[in-house]
Amino acid sequence: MSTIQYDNVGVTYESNGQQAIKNFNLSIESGEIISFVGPSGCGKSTALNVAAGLIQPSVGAFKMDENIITSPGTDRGVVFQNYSLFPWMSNLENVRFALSQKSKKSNTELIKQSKKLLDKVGITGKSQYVYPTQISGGMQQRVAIARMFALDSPVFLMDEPFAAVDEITRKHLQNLLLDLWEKETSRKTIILVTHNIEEAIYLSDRVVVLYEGEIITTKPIPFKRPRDRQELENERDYLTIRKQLLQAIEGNA
Amino acid sequence: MKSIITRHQLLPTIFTVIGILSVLIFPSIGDAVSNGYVIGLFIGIYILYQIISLLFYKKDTYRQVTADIVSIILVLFILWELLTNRFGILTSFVYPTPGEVLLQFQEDRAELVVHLFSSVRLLVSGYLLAVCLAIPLGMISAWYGRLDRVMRPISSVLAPIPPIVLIPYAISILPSFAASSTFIIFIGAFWPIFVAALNGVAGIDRRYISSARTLGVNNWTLFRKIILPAALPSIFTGLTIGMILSFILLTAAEMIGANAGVGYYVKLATDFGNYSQVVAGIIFIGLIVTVVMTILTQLERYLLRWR
Repeated sequence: MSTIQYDNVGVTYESNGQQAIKNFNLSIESGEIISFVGPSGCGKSTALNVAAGLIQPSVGAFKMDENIITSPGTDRGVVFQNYSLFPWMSNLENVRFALSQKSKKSNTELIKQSKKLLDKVGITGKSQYVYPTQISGGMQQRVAIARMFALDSPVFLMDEPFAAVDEITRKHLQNLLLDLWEKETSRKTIILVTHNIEEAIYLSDRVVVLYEGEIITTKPIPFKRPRDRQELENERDYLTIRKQLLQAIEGNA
Repeated sequence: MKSIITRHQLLPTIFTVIGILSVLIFPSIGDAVSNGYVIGLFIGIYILYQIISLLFYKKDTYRQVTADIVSIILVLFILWELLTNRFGILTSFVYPTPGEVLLQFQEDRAELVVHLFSSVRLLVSGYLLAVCLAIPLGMISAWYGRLDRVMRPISSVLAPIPPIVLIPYAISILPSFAASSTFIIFIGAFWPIFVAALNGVAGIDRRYISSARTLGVNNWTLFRKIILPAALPSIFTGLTIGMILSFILLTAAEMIGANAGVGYYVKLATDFGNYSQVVAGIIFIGLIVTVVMTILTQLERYLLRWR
């Protein structure tokens, strides 16, 4: 449905003339989960922002279904590490606001739909009506995920979505994301930026390793879905893949 | 043991009693005001305190703060009464006694209400005009880089000019006192609010804008639902400074060229050497400022409740 293509994309920042990404070529099939990993400053967030339409490529083009993308749009839902939610709107209002941007339904209908979405991610009862600052970082990301699913875009872009939460919460959120993703009838394409190798392997179909703005390795993750974290970590291939990815990152660091 | 007077109420109660006792023990040196009046003043303050305290019955820290502030006010009144009317240390006619000022309030109450309305009308019209123009202009200036680069140097030159120097000129060139003082208040409030709106928008974290853009919001919604609330904390600091400046300018203008208003009341009393009227006027202005600022703070607390 939505084939994504980075066609020889390069981004040079005007302010310092630095090349954030260069010769970036990547095709992503519809329904794939792709992770960008690499050390800080490797260009993984820049690559994601190009997909979001927040950064314009200096050379090359970013395409969705052969259309060149140059601006943000509702066909791509975005979740950032933080700053995704608006602190002046209640959690419910954050979701309702997103829905109201593309739905023409009545307000009561939208609120009902928003509540259902929040229930799905485990934000229930009173937590729906409080402001994002009144709940934990993990809970906030649940709301952000609910909002992302609210938009029902074919493509989800996630920039270190679980980096600011503790280990256990992170695992819960990963499971939540996979769970919601697997339940969708037409599966979303997800691009995930992370610095966590285990997270990348657990979630992705392919892991793309970046270094100094270039793709140095693309590693397919062959494990079948739905995945079980425990089983996965006991597989012999898991350790091999993990080692290869770590070497790819560290070998260049 | 359950006592009638709670922990918070201890200090205000003690000082009220001290106030009443000092009136009863030390003889008046003759301010022509009966002791009952002064005792009534202390009891009045105490009753007012109890009412305010009831409003904060759930918030322990507020009750403590209220009790402490009331205690300080009581101490000041006791010292004032003792120095002027009991020990005779400040005896000149420029030092009215609390009782005299209280009497003055009672005598002038109808007149004070007229002055109050005159002042508030000018304050509201000048201030609201500034709010309505400064907030949109500041926000628009911040949004368009070219305008921003022009408006910043202009505002940094114009804003520091004390609007007080414009008062005599404004009175001469504008047709009425109302027009000129509205204009002065407008100028005084405009710049702080404008600069606050400018900085408020310029300081918004770009990620909120990006986040909104990815939701596909149009420009009008982006402005109303994202940019305005994000800039509001900064705008409110400008609104507060603007209000304080407005009040200073209002009273200053009234003292220079008005025939009504609280500033005029104080100026006239000074000219005639009626110092109990002067002090009554000053206290009255203090009360007005307190009420106005409280309204503004409550509005801020409500609109920024998400913080």
